[in-house]
Amino acid sequence: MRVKSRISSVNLFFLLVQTMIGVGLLSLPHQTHDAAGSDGWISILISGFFIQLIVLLIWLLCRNFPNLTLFDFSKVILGETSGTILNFLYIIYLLTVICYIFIIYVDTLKRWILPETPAWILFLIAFVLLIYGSICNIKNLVSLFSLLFIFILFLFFITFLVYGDPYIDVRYLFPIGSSGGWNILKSTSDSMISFIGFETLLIYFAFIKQSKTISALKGVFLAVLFVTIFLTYIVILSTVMLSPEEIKTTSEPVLYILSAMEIRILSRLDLIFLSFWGLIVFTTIISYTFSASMGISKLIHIKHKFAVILSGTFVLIVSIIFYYMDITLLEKWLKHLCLIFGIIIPILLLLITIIFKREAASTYGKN
Amino acid sequence: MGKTELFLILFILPLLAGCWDERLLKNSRTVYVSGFDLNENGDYQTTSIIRDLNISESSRGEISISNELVTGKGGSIKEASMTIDQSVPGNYDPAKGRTLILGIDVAKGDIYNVMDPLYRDPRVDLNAKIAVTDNSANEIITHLSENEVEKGEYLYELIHSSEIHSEIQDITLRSIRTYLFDEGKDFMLPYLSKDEEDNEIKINGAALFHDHSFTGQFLSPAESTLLLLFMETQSKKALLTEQLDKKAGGSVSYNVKSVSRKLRLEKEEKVHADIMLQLDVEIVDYPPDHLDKQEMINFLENRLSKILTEKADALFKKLAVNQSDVLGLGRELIAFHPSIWKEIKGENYYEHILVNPKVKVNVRSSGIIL
Repeated sequence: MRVKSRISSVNLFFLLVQTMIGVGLLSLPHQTHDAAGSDGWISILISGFFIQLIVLLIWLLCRNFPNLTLFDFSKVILGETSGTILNFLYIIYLLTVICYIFIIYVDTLKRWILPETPAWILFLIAFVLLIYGSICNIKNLVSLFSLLFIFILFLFFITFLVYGDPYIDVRYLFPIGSSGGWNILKSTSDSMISFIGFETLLIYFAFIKQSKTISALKGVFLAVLFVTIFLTYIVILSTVMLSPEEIKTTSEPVLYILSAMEIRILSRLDLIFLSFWGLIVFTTIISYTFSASMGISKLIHIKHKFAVILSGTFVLIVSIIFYYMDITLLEKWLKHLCLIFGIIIPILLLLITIIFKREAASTYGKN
Repeated sequence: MGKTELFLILFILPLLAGCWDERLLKNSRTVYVSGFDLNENGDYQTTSIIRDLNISESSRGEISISNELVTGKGGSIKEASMTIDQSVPGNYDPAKGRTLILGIDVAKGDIYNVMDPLYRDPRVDLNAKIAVTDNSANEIITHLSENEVEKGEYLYELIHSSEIHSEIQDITLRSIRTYLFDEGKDFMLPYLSKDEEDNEIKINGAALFHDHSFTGQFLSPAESTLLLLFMETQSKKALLTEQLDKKAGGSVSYNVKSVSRKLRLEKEEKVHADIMLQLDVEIVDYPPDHLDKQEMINFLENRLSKILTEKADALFKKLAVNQSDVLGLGRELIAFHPSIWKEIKGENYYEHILVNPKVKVNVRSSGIIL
């Protein structure tokens, strides 16, 4: 089924930036530091470059099937049965990501600002917001996301205030490359998880006007570039502010730094940061739910509205189970899952498309 | 408004109205200053001044404030504060403490033992100041609670004003953790003592730390100012006074306007650190005048450069004895000379470093007269 609405390249930029910047932002410096030491920022830059290539491949794949989402063209490429299975797997994957975001979101809020509030309350609030935000069409999504883009700029602005701090020590970045080239390259696979969100392009490319021309790609490239720069900036900031051993025992370096900042009448900037960050995380959740629900509604032929409620309920139950069972389990899975679903499967699909010359026209042309 | 929205709003309202995390000011016992001591048995003793807020219901909600001195003992800092919590009505809430005092026994051990529970609590004010005393923290706080009206604020202002005059390093609860975890950097904390004659608490200088513990030695305010100049972290005011010989006219006071430092590290038998410090100063007190003559200025510059170089020499000898790398030379080596660092790294790396300071003073201004 061809999608009806169209969005522009600029809209795609906002969609993608909002989907990619999310829950990983806070703990990113800690994770990259574990993997690559003070060279974490290099590993982010390399990952960013790598993601640009992946995005290019996804575009090459999607341009063969204008106005078709992954859930439609998978059947064209793999045939009816295996296509449906792949769709199902993708839906499960997207829902897992939402569960992961839910858990990290609630956990962070509970540790930093709401220690007394029971976790299920926070899960319930997130659930309601998820459903409220995701019952909409792509146009609403775009207008919401472009409005909330201001808050990403706010996050930028808040972190600028840190430069008043006298303890900044640029020497923590040196010697550049001390962890060794191989270690840095290896760590890129870890930092890749902070870029997840690009795989939603498999769905969003269907909505774009003139997806065959290179201009469709412009917004996407700029989005990935923006995210790369933003994450690199956050990592460099934390590396400069905290000593190497200290980052290892600080799970949210950005919040930790901000909680010590004081500007005249304002202190505890981390609380302000967290409330803006909450909005940014919600755009990620909404974007993923929107994609997953599209898949569900196509898979079992129900309305988008009911698909959203279905996926929301699934996420609520699963995330609560995982939250009380083992918080870190999902993260471990996700590291591999995002490589498989974000990179390996799109590449395989692309190869099959090229070798067997699959085209949208072959099935839908007749209608 | 559609039915769905209405339903959602009704659904979400009871979730928000709960205010699960409210903490009323009237219920919590806010701490203004805390001190930590270690007794012979290895137990920690926490002493705090708590500010009580009493809202009387009879006289139109008038607020009266009273202070209370509380102590608690325990095997860890957390246990000690639990003991306090049991002895006060309401919640003992250490979050707002603006100043922390470390007793000498705590400071000589691993001070991170005391800090650890503070970093785990998201509500602790990470901008709190930390100080070391020459005796027990209990004594200082007892004195404060008996003699000072402002209690905790008094100590905070005392430390803060010393920081503004570049007499001690600007260290907060947050920045001290960076130093503690950094293998190539040490730090100094304000060194408090109770002056028996004046019955006052004073800052005697800056206590030198090596790794996680107090070395037992401290720098005088003038020495510490000089060291801060070498670190290029002085604040706006950095006033120094030097005694000149009779002929040159007694003494001269000057304020350092700006600093530029050149650091060269070389590995010979030991690691030689040649530091060249250029100070642009403003003369603020020099009764003999005659600063209109160029030779007078030159003379003053030469004299001051010589005196300061000698003082710096003595200062770095003192640091070397205590192995206190406040200057952060270790970090400099890690960052820019990793090969040298590899040879000398270890807990006592400062033994291998020989500092050779040189100071050059330039008189740039002399106030509104010459």
